Amino acid sequence: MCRNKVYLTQPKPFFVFNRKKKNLNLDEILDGCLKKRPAAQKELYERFYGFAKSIALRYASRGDEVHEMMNDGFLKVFSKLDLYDKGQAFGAWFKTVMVRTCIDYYRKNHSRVGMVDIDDIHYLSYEDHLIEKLSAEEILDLMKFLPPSYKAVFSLYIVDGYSHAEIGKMLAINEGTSRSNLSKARLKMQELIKKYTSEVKDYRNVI
Amino acid sequence: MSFDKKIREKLVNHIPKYDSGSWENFSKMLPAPWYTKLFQNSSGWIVGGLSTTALLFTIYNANTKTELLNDEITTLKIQIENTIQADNKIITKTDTVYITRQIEKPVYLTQLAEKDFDFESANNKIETLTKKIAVLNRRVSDKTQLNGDTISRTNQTSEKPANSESKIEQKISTSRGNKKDVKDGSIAQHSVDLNGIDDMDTKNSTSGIESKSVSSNDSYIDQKSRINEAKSIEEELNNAELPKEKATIIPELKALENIIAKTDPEEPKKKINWPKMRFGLNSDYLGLKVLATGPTAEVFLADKFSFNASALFSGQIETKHPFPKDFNKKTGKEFNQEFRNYVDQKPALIENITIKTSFVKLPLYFNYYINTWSRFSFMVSAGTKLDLSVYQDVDYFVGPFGQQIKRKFEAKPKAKTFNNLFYGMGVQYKYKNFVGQLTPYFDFTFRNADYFRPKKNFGLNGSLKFEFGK
Repeated sequence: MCRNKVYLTQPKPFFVFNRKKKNLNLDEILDGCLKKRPAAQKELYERFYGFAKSIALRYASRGDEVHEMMNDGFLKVFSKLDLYDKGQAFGAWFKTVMVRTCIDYYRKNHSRVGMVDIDDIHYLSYEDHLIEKLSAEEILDLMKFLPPSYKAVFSLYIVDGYSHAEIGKMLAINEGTSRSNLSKARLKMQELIKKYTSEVKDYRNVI
Repeated sequence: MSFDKKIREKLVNHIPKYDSGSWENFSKMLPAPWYTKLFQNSSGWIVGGLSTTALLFTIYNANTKTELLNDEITTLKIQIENTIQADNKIITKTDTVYITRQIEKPVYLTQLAEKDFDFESANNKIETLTKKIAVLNRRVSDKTQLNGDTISRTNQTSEKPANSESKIEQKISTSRGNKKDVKDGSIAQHSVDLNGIDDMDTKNSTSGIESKSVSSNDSYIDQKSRINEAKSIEEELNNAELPKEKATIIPELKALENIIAKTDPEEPKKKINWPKMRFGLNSDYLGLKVLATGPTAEVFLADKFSFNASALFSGQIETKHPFPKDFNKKTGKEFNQEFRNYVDQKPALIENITIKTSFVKLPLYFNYYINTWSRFSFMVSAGTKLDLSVYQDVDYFVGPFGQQIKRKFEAKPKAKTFNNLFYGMGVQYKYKNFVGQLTPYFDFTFRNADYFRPKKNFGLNGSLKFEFGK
């Protein structure tokens, strides 16, 4: 089960547009989507666009994959909306659908991509304060350098809070492989962060 | 704070902004609503059906309006006729006093309807008559009293006037008691009685004259003049006979009843005025290549202007392609892709492709007729032929050389519903209600339909129809 679902119950207001149209609450939007009303579907899409993109960005290797994952995810949300239990938080259900869609996409397109050998990773000393200097976009950019299999485990475990058992089932790998991949992914990320921050520092010094 | 927590915090709180235009791109991927799918799949049938429904509705609407107008015209005509009749009635009946009085009778229509007679006025007249008779009798009796001899001689007969008077009174009383008895017969009897009285009076007076002639000549002359006076009164009374009046009234009443019956506001029978319509069979030699035939219907919107709709079921047009590359050469399409739902996508040798295409068309066009002195007339047509459905029977051979097997399927490519316009000029022959038409036409195709591309843009349309309506 997810360890950190509490903060995902409802996404934050992503944008503040001065719209003249009637502000619908989520229940009304969901009812409209169940009735296949385009206006309600658009409203839901716009409200959850940022949330969906933030998930897709963590799993996609390239920019075009982000949009494909998002589109697949939203299509699944609209088609399976009748399965949503209104007693549960919609944000959590939406996140689950999006994550599973991203994993499906990964399994379809990247499952055969070769793993990076643990020996290839250079162990570097890491300082925790380095990460604080980076923005979310920079971290996501660095994550793109991770092999898809590592990135999937890294995102599933660290960000989305799935256990190794769940990750193993989702990615059709052993629990041990999941642990191993996470470890390697973490090391790789630390290395990338350190390398990136040093480069930035050098760059700033030059300027 | 550990590395994992810091990463999670950073990534979870990161929500990208909405990219404008994303929905527009995504909405195309959403499954279309059922009505859009329905329209996409059967747009031809829907357009055809809607056009036909619209046409039928227009005809129905036009008919309803025409009916209403006709009803109004009929009502107005009736009203005008009634007014004229009423005016005529007054004019004709002012000719005589009786008729003028009878015009007031419609006020007593209920009495007339019951065919009752105004007995009250009749009784009044009888009473007047009785009084007059009484006066007359009194005069006669006075005369008889004047001559005492005469009285004694005529003692037996002098009782008769009194008897006759009592008889009259008896008659009156019976007539009062039973009004229905006061009819021609009773009145006639009454007059007879009066005559009888007068006869007796005359006899009495004659006897009086005889006695007087003995006594004095002057008294004789005086009595004679009185007798004449009495006779004139009697004649006057006879002239005022009731039956005559009644005989005059009854035919007048009947005439009035007839007028009333005519003016009764009966609802005029509704008559459906269908426009001129023709139904029959239509045949089209499409592109001078394939013959299509089907039922046709024509409705006249004006005297010389009509709308025609029909259904054309074509014969099969066969095209052969030795190899898929020939199919590609001719159509610009990949055989495997074009029929991907039916053809196995595994690479295999495909040969001898035969495609038999047939389709259903819905020609909708307007006709304008130019009449001639004979049974022939010219006609100008313009409209379109909507493609409703297309069917393709495809067969081909597949497999390695020597082990080929034949495969066959029926494909239903999407019809390009609205793809052409046509203009034609032809001739019509009409004999009684039968109509034959022949129209060569030019076909202007603004969208190419892959399934049917005739080399020639000309066609020939012929139809046999039967005419209904006015």
